[in-house]
Amino acid sequence: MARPATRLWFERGLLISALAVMIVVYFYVTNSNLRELVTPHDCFFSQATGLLCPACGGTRAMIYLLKGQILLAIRSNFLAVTTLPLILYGFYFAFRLAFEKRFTSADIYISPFWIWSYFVFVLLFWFVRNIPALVFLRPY
Amino acid sequence: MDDTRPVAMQAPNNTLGTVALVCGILGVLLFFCCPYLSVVLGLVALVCGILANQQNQRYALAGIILGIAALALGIIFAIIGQLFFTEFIHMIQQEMIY
Repeated sequence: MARPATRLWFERGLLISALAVMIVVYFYVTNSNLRELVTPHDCFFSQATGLLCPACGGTRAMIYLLKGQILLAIRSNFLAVTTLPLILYGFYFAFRLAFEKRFTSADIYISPFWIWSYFVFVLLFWFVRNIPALVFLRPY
Repeated sequence: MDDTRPVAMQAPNNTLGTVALVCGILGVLLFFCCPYLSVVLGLVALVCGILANQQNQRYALAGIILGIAALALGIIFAIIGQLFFTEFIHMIQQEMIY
């Protein structure tokens, strides 16, 4: 089903805006001090239970990644680093949707096995990083 | 000769519906610890769910409902978090003064 031109241009505008925001964030992060960017630990779950959530250390991981320190990013939050290729894959589909007229949302295909595997991986990571013996999975 | 050969059934494409459902579940699970992430996941679930619903994919409605729930909970907890932590920081500052 062909999409109207106005919708296509709306999608393109949305994507280009998202890219512009990402570029601004990149330059802001790379020109800032890490201590200024990372706020004190404000996780409700962590404060209520004393356990870590799967996203704890995610902001630090992204900042380290943007600064090119991959090992520190992995140490901060392994899940955030492994999720990044999936986000990029999502952007690839979004770009194809916005710029290829013949490509529709019905053409997007990812095996359900991989989608559910990722879901299980998130839950497993949440469980495993709270095991006291596995200290290296705690945010760096 | 019999011309009725069996036709291979193509598995239905439920990618967007499944993505919507998974993002919705994760959004609802994570609203308590990271409400901003929950808002993003809720938005992704909502958009994918709407697109999947247009193609009658499985899990589309569940994705839409969970997406709306994640979005609402994320926004509420983000606001509560801002208020609560402003109070908390203010309290610590007062403790330091006295």
